[in-house]
Amino acid sequence: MIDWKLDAFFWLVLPIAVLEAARIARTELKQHRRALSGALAFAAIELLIIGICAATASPLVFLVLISLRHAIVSIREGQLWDRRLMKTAAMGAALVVLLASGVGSFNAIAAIDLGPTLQRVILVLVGLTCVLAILPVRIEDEPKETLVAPLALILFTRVALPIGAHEPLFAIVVPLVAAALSLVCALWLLSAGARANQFEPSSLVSEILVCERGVILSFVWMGLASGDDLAEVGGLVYWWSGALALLALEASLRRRPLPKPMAFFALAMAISLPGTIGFVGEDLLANGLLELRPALAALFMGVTAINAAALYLALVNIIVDLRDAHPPHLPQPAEGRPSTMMLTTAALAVVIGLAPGPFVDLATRAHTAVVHHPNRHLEEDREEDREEEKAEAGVAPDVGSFPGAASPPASIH
Amino acid sequence: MNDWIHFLSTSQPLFHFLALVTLIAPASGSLVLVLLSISGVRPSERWVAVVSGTTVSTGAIAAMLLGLVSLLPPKTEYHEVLWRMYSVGHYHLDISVYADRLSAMLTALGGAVIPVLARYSGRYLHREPGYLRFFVLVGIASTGFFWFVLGGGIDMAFFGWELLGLSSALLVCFFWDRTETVVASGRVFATYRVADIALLMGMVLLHHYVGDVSWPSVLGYGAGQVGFQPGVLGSTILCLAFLIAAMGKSALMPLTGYILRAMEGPTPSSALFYGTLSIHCGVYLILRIEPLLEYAPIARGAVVFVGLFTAITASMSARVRADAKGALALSSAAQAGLMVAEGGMGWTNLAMVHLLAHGLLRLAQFLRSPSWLEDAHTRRSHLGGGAFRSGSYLENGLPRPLRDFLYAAALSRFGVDAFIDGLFSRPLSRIAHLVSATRPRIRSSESGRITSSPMPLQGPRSPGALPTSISPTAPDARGARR
Repeated sequence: MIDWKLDAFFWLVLPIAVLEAARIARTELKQHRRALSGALAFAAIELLIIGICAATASPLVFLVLISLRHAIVSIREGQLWDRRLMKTAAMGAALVVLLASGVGSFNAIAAIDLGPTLQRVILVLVGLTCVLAILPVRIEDEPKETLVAPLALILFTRVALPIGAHEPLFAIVVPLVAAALSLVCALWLLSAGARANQFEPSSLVSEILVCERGVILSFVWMGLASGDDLAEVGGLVYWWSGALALLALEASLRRRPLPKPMAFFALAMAISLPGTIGFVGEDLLANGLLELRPALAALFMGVTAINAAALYLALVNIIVDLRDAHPPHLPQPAEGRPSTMMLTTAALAVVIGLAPGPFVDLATRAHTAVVHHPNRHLEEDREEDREEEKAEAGVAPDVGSFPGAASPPASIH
Repeated sequence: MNDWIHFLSTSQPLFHFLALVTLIAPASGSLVLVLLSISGVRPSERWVAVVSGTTVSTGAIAAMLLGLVSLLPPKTEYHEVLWRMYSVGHYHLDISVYADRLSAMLTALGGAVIPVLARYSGRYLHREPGYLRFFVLVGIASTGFFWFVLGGGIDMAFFGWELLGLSSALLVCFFWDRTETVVASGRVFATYRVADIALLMGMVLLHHYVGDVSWPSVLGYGAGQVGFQPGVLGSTILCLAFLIAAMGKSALMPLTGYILRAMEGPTPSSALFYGTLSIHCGVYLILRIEPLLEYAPIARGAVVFVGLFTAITASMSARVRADAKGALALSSAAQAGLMVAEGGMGWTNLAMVHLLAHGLLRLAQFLRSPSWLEDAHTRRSHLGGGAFRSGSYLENGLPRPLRDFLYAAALSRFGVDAFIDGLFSRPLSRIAHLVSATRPRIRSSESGRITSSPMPLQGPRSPGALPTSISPTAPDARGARR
């Protein structure tokens, strides 16, 4: 009997699966010149696999599905040996260890005592999956997975977060590793942007996408593992915004003639300009990280600054290179029209960015479904209510002089 | 009459309406133009100017009325939450408006300047390929400015701040076809990004200390009162974060260098950003947080020092500039420094009057700068010819070696740009270079062959500098490499 987990996290992942499927259909159709039926079939398979992986609570089903996906993607891309193989192997190994230790459902992970060694083995394997997803290594010109590694993060939330709640070092080591990786990715992007004219255009776009994906995934990973509610919700929102930003970047940068305004808008989405959904994620993430780890919050902000400057540098270099590559005696081509994908992602980013309430609610519910430590802010709210009741009853509150200090910080776990 | 004044000053619906029009109208014009552009319709210059001018002017008029209403007795401060963006637990972000004497004064400046500039640009940029783009960006910049000034809290101010910064950087590279403009815009963007991050840091720290970051909560109603007790350390960190943000936006030392590169943009955008609006945003920020400086004597000292240092160095550099726009830009930075110093010393009213007067004067100077030389020659010929008088200046009284030294120092802008390069750009460039060295072999775009080693990051004439936008001292490295 297959165990299902149709919680808010599933509904959060589903749109990402849809976006990924749309991206695959578009790439297969336009870049690989596949027939419409073939492109749609690949997209449907991707949607189905990610959807079921998000919905299932069975490690066995997850294992079968990731193996199946690996085979299908290898056929689709015509490439067997690459980073994806290592990622699938690490995910598979983590799931096999989980199954071998008697965990038949993700729902049971929090209740079963796996023992410290097994816990650490599983955490290391899942962490390795995330590191492999983040590292900005580009094997071929065409990016194989430009989107936000949904399977690795589903596994992280379903397996690593419940196990990590029992591991004292989890909320310290993982955010630190993620922060270091984000810095590496941002610097890698900076170096790619600085020598843009040494790349072929398609290579440069792949390089930008892979590096930016690394930065985004590092932030998401950092937020999810931080142990603070705000940062965790911020991580989930940032994941979503990252998916939109990467899609927008890919759709605009690969188009010729380059639609410059839209390319700059994609840049604005990637650097979390206020008014886009990315700002909401960045705001929550920064505030959450500052609550527990101010140094990490400072590093986060530094990396966002480097990332933004690097992206801008890469983009203006692309524009200058395209202009320089154009024969001077011919008139410059007309401005490129943005694609439907670009417009859709931009509209989604702006609409959710301007009215983020319902989406943040969904992310909060998804967070409640996946986290396994006491809900810190809700605890604080309850504490405040108690203080108010005390004050009404005539008892002086034993708190600081400003609202932020209304309750002492609760422990993470 | 008194009844009318009382009605106007206490009418919530009126305030709501004016606030909404101010915050939304300029952006709506840009949105209409973008949608037209995307749908393939190429509106004529006349229509672009009409749509942009109408929406921007509507926003400006509403802003001026809002400023006026907020100053009417008996209530001299308004704070209204328009809507709640989102909330997680007890953390929330509100869209709110806060109007007091300070924001009313800057709003009035923006309201007076933006329609004039829109009108001027309509003729100035006639037949430019990026005509529509310019007006879209002016609309975004106006939106950003009003959101920054009227924002009810630091969150909203940050929103406007970022919009203003991005539109400014994009207007610097308005002329895509010139490499220098693109390189300059990168430098402007990088500097603004430093300011953005500092402001974001301040915002996050305020969330951390106060919980609620609306201006009334932070500063308290009534001038000179702080709404929370942050302690010396907390106030100092907060004020220093805001000072760094102001340094970026108002081109204060040591981040003055970008303002000269920003002059690559068209004159109306230079006037808008570096003569009137953007350059004063940092000053506004310092004036806004002035009550906090009471608790942070070190930060107050830093504010005064940075302001005075900028005023002295930038005004000396401005006097040796050979180009009109560069001299005006540096003069703007010098005046901004002076205003910041006034704010740091607690002379808020003087700084406010100074800001208003400077904004209007500099606008006129910037807009006249393209025709100034011709006007001067015409004037001279009307007066009967003869050489321009050099005038008698203070430096003429200095000993010759000192004068030469100061002249050379002012020409090199006191080595501050080189210092900043050494502090940030070069280390970053070196790290990027090191990272590049670990890359696998790359393709040569010219020949399609695989090259055996990565090409150097720097241009041949400037080792240690980023080839494009990060470094101000790099020559046209791309051109050198091509």
